[in-house]
Amino acid sequence: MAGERGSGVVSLDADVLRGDYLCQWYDGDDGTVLAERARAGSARTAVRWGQARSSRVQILTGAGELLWAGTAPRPEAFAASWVDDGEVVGRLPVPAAVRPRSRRSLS
Amino acid sequence: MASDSGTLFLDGLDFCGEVVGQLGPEDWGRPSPCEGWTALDVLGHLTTSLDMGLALFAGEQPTWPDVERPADLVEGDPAAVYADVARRCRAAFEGADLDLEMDTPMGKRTVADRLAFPAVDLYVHAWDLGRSAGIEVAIPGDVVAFAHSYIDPIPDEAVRGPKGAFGPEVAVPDDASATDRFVAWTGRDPA
Repeated sequence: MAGERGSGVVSLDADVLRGDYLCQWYDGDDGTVLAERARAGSARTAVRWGQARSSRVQILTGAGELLWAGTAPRPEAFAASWVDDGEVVGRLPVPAAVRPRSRRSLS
Repeated sequence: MASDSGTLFLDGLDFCGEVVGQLGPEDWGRPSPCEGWTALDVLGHLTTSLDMGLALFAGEQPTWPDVERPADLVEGDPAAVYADVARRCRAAFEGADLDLEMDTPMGKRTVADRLAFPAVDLYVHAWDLGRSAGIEVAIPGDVVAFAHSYIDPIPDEAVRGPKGAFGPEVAVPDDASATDRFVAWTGRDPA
């Protein structure tokens, strides 16, 4: 079922043009349905958003590193895990509800 | 960049406003150069860029609207919606600290640094709106130079592609205008 918390995979991508993270939660049987999307001003905020939705979270940092940030065991494809370095938390709206559906890009 | 991005942003509000004011009711449903978007979608997207400016002026991290389509963000008369958010941006700019540092994925950046994106967005999407309605829009040379100075140092893979803001650069004739070269660089076809 699309949009079921704890399922799917979350992708957190540094957007170097905007200066924030694009947070996308993919769900569905094949993990390709974009269930929800948000923006986060910091990696910590982005990871919190991701972990609230799935145990499988990956983050592409502003330095171009692809790191594992999920609570599930790190897959072999990931060489390292994201470490919270204590950055300042950015503001991000808390989603009112899960709305499973595909979305168009706003960028 | 500090004063440049602020000036370009404020000038961009007027620049884009002039284009918005020329679109008639029949134009907002027309397709735009942005794939899958109508002119009204472009305007809705622009409001998110302006909201980004408003958040930055308040020293807050920009947020993201939860809508199915960007056009859903435009309720009522499109020109009035634009005028309202532009007015709020001008007012907020007056009290903004452009030197305030904020966290970004690339480390600390000032509000002025981060304003570069919504500033450039105003001009590029003004061209999109013009193209939708058959209005010729010439992007000022200082905007083109600023956009290149801001974006050229960023790796291409971070700028273009499915998660980037630009599509692949479009080839243009040798005698293409400066505006055509610029929009082609952003992935738009000026032909």
